[in-house]
Amino acid sequence: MKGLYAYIIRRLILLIPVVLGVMLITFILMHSIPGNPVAYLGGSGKLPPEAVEKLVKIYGLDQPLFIQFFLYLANLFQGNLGTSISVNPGANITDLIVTAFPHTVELTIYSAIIMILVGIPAGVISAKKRNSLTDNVTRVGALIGVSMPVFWLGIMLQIIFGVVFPIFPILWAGIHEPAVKVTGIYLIDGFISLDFRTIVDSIMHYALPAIALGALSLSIVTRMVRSSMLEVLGEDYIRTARAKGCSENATIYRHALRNSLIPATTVIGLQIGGLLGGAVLTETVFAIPGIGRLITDAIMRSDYPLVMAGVLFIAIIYILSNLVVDVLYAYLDPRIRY
Amino acid sequence: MTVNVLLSIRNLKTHFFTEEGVVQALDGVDLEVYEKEIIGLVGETGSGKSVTALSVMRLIPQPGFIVDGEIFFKGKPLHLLSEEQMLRIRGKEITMIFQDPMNALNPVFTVGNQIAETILLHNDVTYKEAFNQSIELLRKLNIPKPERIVNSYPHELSGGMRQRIQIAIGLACQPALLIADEPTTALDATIEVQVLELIKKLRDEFNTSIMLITHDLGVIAEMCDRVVVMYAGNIVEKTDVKTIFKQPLHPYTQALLEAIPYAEKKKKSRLTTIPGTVPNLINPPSGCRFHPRCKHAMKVCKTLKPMLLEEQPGHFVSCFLYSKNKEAAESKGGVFEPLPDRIIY
Amino acid sequence: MRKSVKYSLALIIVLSLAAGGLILLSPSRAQAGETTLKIAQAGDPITLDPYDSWDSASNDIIVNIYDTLVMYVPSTLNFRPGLAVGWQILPNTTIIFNIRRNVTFHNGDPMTPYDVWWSLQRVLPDAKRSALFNSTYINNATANPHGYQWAELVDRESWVWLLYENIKDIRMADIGFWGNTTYTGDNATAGDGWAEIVVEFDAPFAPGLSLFSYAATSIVNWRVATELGPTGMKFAPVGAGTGPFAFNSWILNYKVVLDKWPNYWGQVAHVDHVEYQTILSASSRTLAITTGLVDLLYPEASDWYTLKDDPNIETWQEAGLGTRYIGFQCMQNVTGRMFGILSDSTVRKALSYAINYDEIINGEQFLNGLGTRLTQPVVPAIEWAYNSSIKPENEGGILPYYNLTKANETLNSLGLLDVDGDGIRDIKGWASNSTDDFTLIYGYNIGNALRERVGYLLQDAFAQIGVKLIVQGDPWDVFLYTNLAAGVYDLWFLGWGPDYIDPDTYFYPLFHSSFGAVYDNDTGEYTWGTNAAGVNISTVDYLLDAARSETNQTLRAEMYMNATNILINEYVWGWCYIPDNTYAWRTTISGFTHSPLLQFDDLEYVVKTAGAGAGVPIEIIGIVIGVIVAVAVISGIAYWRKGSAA
Repeated sequence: MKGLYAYIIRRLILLIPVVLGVMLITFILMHSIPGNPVAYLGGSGKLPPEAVEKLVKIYGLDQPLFIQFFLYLANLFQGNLGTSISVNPGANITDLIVTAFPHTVELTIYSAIIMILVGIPAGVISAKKRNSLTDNVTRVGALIGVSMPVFWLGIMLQIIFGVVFPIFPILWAGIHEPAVKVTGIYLIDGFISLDFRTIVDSIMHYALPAIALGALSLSIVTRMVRSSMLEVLGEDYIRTARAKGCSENATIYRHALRNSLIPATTVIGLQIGGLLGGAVLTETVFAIPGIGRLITDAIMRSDYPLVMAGVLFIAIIYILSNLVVDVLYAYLDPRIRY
Repeated sequence: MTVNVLLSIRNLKTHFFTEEGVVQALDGVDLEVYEKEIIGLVGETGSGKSVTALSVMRLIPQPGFIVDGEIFFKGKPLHLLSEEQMLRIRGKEITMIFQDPMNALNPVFTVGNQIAETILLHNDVTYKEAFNQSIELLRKLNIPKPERIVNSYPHELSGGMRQRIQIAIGLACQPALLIADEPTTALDATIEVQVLELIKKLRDEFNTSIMLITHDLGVIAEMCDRVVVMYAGNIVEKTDVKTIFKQPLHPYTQALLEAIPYAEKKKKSRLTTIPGTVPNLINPPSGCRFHPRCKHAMKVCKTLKPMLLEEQPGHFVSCFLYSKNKEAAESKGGVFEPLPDRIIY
Repeated sequence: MRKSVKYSLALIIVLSLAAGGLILLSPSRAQAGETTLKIAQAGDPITLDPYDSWDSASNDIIVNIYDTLVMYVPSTLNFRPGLAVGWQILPNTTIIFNIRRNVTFHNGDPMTPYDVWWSLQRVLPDAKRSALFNSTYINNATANPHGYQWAELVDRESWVWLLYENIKDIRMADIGFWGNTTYTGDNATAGDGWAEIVVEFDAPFAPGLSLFSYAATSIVNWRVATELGPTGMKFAPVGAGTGPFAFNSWILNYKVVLDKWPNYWGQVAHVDHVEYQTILSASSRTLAITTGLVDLLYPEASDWYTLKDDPNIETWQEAGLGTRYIGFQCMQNVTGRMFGILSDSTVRKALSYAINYDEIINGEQFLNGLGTRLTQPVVPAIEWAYNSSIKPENEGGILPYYNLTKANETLNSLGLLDVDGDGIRDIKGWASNSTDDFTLIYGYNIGNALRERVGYLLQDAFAQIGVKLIVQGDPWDVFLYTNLAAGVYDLWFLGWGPDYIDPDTYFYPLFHSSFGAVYDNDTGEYTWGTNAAGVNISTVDYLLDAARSETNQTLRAEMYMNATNILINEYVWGWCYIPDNTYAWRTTISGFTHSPLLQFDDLEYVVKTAGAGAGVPIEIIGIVIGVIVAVAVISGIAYWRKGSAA
């Protein structure tokens, strides 16, 4: 266990160079894309050159690139993410991200729940009843899930479950806001303040977006679990378990599942990272004010500091989720020790 | 010595229905195991030893099926029992331990957990009691520091230790029959001896019958009371251990014994082998399945299938070279001339 | 086993009842009686500070938070008193506003003339601001402790700023009442008499009044604005306005919520809240209104007929304020142009007959019925200057319509015949540098699919009258600033939107010779002018100048109509269409006034009746979720116990 803690601390320290690298690459990429945030400030018209000059000076865009980068880092280490230039000129970026990020996190949580609670059992059942009708249906379903575009699925879900059978609200907008906002993740806030309406509303409003967002990952996880399950079922210790007198279910769920989850965990961890960063289309279709839309806007309008801050957040969460996966590994597989 | 039959197998046929064709892995096996005896199953790889054992356990992997035959265990017809009833026999009445201790234990559970699981499955005890019982069991098996071992994971133990743990799992419920499928193949010589000693001791202590599957005749000589020699899904010879070494009847057994390298043999002599390979069981040779490799092969061997008949008291053999089979074949018009294209070695 | 079944059942019942009950008791249910008007927006507002707003999404919100001096009678473009109860327009370039009394801001502060003056001063360009404003506000540490400069840049290129360049001075009239005291916000009190605000223009400018109807000239609470500064005003202008709704909250990318202001000086709003939801996806917006999640929106053109057929949705369609036209290059001497031939009005007339107006307006590939034929420079919404008797010829009017026979006849009458028999008319002798074939270039900006399709539509029609048309697409800046200015195109597609609500904006920049392209002798380059067609008719120039300084509306209307007749007879444009304003709202709301300005104005008149709520009641959902959770928990426990026992 001590080794594990040391490992976690080591990984957290490693986070710093990784984040710096991410920042540097983002910075270089952003500045190599043609476009100038100041150009978007005049609305439909053009700003007079004096105004542009002044703005460029205010934001330090006339400095050499490396100086701009180090100035940015200096601000960053003082906890100052700066202000948005063109997306929401003058707005504090920390505020923007702190408002937007919890929604994406909550969406990701729901998608991950669907991915895990549906994907793993589906993969297991599919492997257990190999080549049966269930298996074939699951496999075709997974194939469809992998190949379906997110926005199309979103619109279809809206039409089917929002219009034809009005069970779920078609948009996230209109969600009941909790009186107590501690985390900004409404589900958790609802539990903290024991406000059941918030909890129910959160579940109802996130249902469709979570399905739309999670369908791809769900399919990937299902396929992954199925194939690793099939592999594990051929192992000797499964025969041993059967020879002991374990029933089919006990063999699969007690002996095979945990082993087959070891490779699946990697995929799940990566998928969660992908869900966090890839929710733009879902957020657009379901009108969720999440981080994906914020960053897309920022990229479209060359809002350098906002892009940097958004990428920073996603990178950190991505790294942390992978750290969680690595720790989970150690739990799932006693052969791995840090 | 009482001779109560514990397990009897009659005309067992297990086939695998693969996409390439039907693999006739067992083609009419007759076998009985008496109480408190160690019976050895020998034969080359692919001769059907393991399939016989798995058929008894009813654990034949897909796409294999028992297509014919009967298996009686303590008078119960195993081939007719439901899966649920089988669950109560596996692990409790009949257990099996496997060749590769590396993979035979689940890597994600502690050893104690895996032993206790077997106890829990078949006894009405709590997990804690089961866990304590498993420590006791390890102690009985003379395994050092059982309290520490039970909390270890399989990868933390040596191969021999793992095999002993497998044996402990096998014996956790004091079964009537333990099937050991090449238990020592993967172990080095010193550990092998220890494990075999352990198995032998268990027979004496727990009164368990043991079916020992191996291809090592040395192990047979060391351990077994009786020996069954298998070839390509058939039993070719079945007798007690002394007879088989002194007076082997079947040409295959003879060839097997000749192939044993003895230390006192001249150093220059080459290693004796049986020419040819184990036949493809999708299209097995007609008649006696050994005839393409047999130096005594006759025309009858190609046309008729010999039966396992008692040539001498307690000595069963299936070969046309011996009187009972000869008589039976003659009545069917078998021709007893040497096969012209037989292998001579 | 029996026992555990009992426990399970009890747990299911308790959990589901608890969930349902807690929802019933939760505080949010208490507010269920309040009405919220929900509006779907295609984008977030940029700012809530009227001072620098220029986009539609911001404007739709700002008009409901703030009031202007001059407002419109709902659903028309006729002025009505706003925060000014009356005004005088003096012939000597001056407007005097009488400021309304007993108006309170959303934070309870009374509105004083000082607020009006301060707000208008803030809008002015730096150089035009009064010394008083600069000394009492900008340079005054007490009044402006944070040293806010009200960024000099944000709206400087938008039309508002250009317009206020014409203003010479805005001042409080300290006539008599105020004596010698320096009048500042601090000693101003409400209701201390009729206050007047005097606005003086540099030159006579009849449309000046309309400038004070813009959101940009909204009156803000100067104390609040000073306290909040530019950022605060932009994102959370609490208490800054006097309008029918007060700002409540804005969540970026999500929604802006306004609350009813019960002390509004005019009609107090019927609905308790207005919610502007940002829904980027067009299909989601349409679904949102069809399912009742929102009450009001600007419908998508592609979903227009779906919404129109929906019995729960009411739609509104009328000609808007923008104009779309096919411009002809009327100037002969612009270098770089292939032919001077379009300087002949008869040729332009012939081409006007070859434009399929009906297809462009009603064709599925084009506007699909969401437009109205443009008959003159001005749009029908400006009733007093619009000559409704001008109609296409096939409807009994004088305007060209799609008639290739007539086009052919006109060209034949000019002697433009196909001499060499290749199917294309030859124009030898018309211009010294001409080639034989009658070839024209149509220009449009790349990316505008409609304009591209119009080009090919024209190409087909022109081919039938023996004119070869080259369709040339260019990027927007090349199209406008380079090629159009240099006269590369013979004809092109362009649109125009009004800068202010006055016919002047539809005439002066487009047809006055002073707005044509300017040739720089030194660089040899042309600078683009809004009068890209190069219309240069002295009578029109005279009429437009006269109408600008005339204050009598009837006389002005006459002048514009005269100019219109000249322009139509000169065939300077192919008069194409006016894009229609469209609104859609649910039948559960009534009293929505569809402003011709295409904005969600006058929401205080909207009444919302609670319709049958779509979807499953939240209590039932709560109970269902409770049961599901309970079952999941129980089966989980059961499985876990079985697993550990097995």
